[in-house]
Amino acid sequence: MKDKQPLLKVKNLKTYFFTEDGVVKAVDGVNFDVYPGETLGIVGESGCGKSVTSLSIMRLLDEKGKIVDGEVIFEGKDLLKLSEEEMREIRGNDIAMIFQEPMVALNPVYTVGDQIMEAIILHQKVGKDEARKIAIDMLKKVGIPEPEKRVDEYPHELSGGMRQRAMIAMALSCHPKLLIADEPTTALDVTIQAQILELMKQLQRDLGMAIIMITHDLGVIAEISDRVAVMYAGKIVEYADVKVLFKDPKHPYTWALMNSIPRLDIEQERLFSIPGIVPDALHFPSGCKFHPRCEFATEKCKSEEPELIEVGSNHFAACWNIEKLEAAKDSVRVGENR
Amino acid sequence: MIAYIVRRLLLLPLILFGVTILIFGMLELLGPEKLVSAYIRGPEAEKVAGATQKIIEKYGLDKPLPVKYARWLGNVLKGDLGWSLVGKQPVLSAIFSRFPYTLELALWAIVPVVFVGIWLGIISAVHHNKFLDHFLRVFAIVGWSFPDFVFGLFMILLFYTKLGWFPPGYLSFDMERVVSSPEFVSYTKMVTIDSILNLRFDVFLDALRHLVAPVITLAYLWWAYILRITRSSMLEVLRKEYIRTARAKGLPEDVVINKHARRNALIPVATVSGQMIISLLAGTVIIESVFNRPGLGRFVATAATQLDYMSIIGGALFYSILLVLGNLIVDVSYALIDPRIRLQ
Amino acid sequence: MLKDEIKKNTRKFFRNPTAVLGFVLLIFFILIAVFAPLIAPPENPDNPYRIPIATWSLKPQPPSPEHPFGVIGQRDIFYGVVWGTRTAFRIGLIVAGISTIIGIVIGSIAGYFGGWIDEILMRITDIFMALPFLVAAMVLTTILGKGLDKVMIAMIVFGWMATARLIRGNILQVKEEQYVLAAKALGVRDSLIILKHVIPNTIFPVIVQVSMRMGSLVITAAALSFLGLGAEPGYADWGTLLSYSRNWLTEFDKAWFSIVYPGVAMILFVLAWNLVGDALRDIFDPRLRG
Repeated sequence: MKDKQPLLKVKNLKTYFFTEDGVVKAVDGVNFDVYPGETLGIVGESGCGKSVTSLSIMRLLDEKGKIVDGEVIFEGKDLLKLSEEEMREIRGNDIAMIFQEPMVALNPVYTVGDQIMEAIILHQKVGKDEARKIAIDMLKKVGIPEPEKRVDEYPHELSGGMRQRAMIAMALSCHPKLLIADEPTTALDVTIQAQILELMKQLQRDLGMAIIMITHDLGVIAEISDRVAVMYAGKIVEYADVKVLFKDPKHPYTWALMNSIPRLDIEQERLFSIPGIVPDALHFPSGCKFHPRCEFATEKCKSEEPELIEVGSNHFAACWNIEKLEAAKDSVRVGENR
Repeated sequence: MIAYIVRRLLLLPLILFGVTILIFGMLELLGPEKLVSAYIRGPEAEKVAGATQKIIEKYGLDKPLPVKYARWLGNVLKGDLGWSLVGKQPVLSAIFSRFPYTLELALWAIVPVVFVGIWLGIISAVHHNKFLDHFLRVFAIVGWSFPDFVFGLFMILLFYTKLGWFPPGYLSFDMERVVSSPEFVSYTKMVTIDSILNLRFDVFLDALRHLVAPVITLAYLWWAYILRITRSSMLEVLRKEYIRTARAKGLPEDVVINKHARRNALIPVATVSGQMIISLLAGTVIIESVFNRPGLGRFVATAATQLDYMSIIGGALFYSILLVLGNLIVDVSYALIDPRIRLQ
Repeated sequence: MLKDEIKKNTRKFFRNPTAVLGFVLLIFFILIAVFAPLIAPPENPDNPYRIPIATWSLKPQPPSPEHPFGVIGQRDIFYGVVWGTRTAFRIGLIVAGISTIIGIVIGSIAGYFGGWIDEILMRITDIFMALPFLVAAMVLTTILGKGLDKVMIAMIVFGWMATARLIRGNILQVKEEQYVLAAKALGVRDSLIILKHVIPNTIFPVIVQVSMRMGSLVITAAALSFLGLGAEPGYADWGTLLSYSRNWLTEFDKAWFSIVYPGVAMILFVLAWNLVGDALRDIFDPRLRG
């Protein structure tokens, strides 16, 4: 996979919010690549900057958010250097996006069909009737029953899962090369979540697009991703293939996240939870931003910020104390085996 | 939706019934003597000796309250609102003969108010926190702080006294003679329309000249109001996720604003527009008095100063019926704009 | 916590230039009202609201050193404007105060008891709202027999509905909140919960509403005086002063000062309240934050 050209290359992206109370460094030097047809998962707690990253790629930040540095190379072009006009050509056409709450992400006063057709008419330069046909086709493809009827319904007439399907139909109607999915299943019931993920995987196979899956849910990551970037406080702290990451996390934060998933295969006295809270974006701690919550933190962590270093093949982590983590993992394994 | 309209229609007579009780209650506050004299000031008083007793009997003024109310309501339903001292005619005819003037003024004001107000509000929201927005906000809050009659007086001072462009009044003397001449057919009693139908464009222009200042006065205050509502509604809508979705589709900004945002933002504006039209009609009470224009508003104001109780009670009843019916129409059309309500 | 919040909001208030302007204007009017006896000493201290007769001529007199704002209807406009400030405060505070209290009581009863009591009270509210405010105030004033006190009564009678709706809405909303349901489940008395949660949720919207209404109340009272239904001629009231100008409609060049001085005083007074109210709303209404 590595010999291919990346479809999207994000280099040293920095997005800051200039608020009345101070500068919020929501995304502070993020690097990653997305290759054609693959799925990159970005995982982290809320407020870690994962959604801001995706909005920065699309250049859809609100007025207070500014991209202060970095490059977003998509098919060889730096999106950050395009004019608004050129960027619009890409949005919805080459890169599409779906959002967390299908409830509020669809305009309540227009029918589902109207909202899907809009993008088709805009980007594929077809007439209304043709666009309607495509829209119905897409609705069918995402598994909405009676698409000829649903196309004329308003969002509030559909269930949550149906709405998210409609959102996906809308996003994929122009066959984008990259789909950014920002917590697409968070607002849905567990059974519907699984269906939607299955649908996305299937559509990815059929249409061959790349996906950036943004979520706080490691389960979703495990389900759908090829590679994973773990974000904490505006930075990527670990970056690896999904199997490697789950088998051998190298950052205490990743490890802690995994320990906070309930496991059925072993007996647990209580669920581990990460001590402390996500730091306030206005007052990030010095040094490694995770150190106040990290059980392995040393003096060095408080003063110096670790860089991402290669810790295995295609496996990167930003931590000063990887050995300490390894030792801790060994002791847990011993405990499990006993 | 249908249940909603049915509920509104069922409530309508109830509210109107309540309004009649409220207005009857106010009339009762006059006390027995003033009440009798309020009724008596009609042609009956001049014609018949011992009219007082007849009036007391006819309207049941010596009867207990419920009976009095029933008699009063019966008369009201028959269209008998008493005798207008100021109009020297029955109150109902006095109201109907003056209402077209007021309606004409209000209609002329509504168009600029709604369109300009919404337009300014959208501009303000789109330029959120930029110079234009701050400027329009100041314009709005200053406008909202202007007492309408003071603004009207300033308009006269500027456009009539200083510049001599727009005189107060309704028509100039010559044109008034034309309008009251037998050749001039009065179709609607609204002179701007009648003059065109009579092909008297000189009359039309003269009427327009007299309309400019009161229309601006009515409009300025409401521009401010509509601008504020549209702006805050628009700002709220622009923060919604579906706007982000629309942008993520690659739609040009003007489509995002004019299609996706505006329609949602106008839903709350539609409700206040209804109140506004009613308030415009009520606001003519003072504007007509300031600009010395004939109409229902000035009629009621004059009746109040002359203690013509039957006329003001009739006026109050008329205005509240307008308001209740107006609100009903607004609520129903509100439901038509918003599919979430329409289909419930 | 609360102290910090107040401190933060105070800082926010004074960072907003229009809020500061409104605040300064308001202080200015308060000072004029308080020091009215010094700024324009009354001839008859027992009845200071009576504007003294300045001249026996009926013609308006332009501003002069003796009468800085001129003379209209034989009355000194400066004196009327200064003492009219007191009248404006009196009208605004009394009417807004009493009608707000009525609104709070009715709204609380409706929201707290709910059911048919709520239904009845809300329909009564609808009925009172079915009359346009100016027309209703005008009719009731006339029936009660004219005068400033009657104007105030009329405005109170027709001025409580917005507060009642606001309070009721807030109580209904609080009733649905999770923490209230939780407290209820623990057996805490309803009234106690509602009192505890409604007051902090409602007090600021009510304050905002009162300050936003002050201006419009003063405008309505002045309009009624302007039409000749409110304060009697010669009373220190802005609307009454303006009503004199009606006799000079076609000759405003001879009476411009009778419009400009009381008119500007009124505009600035209303502006002051609206600016303060607007700033308070920006602070307390989280939906408009941003």
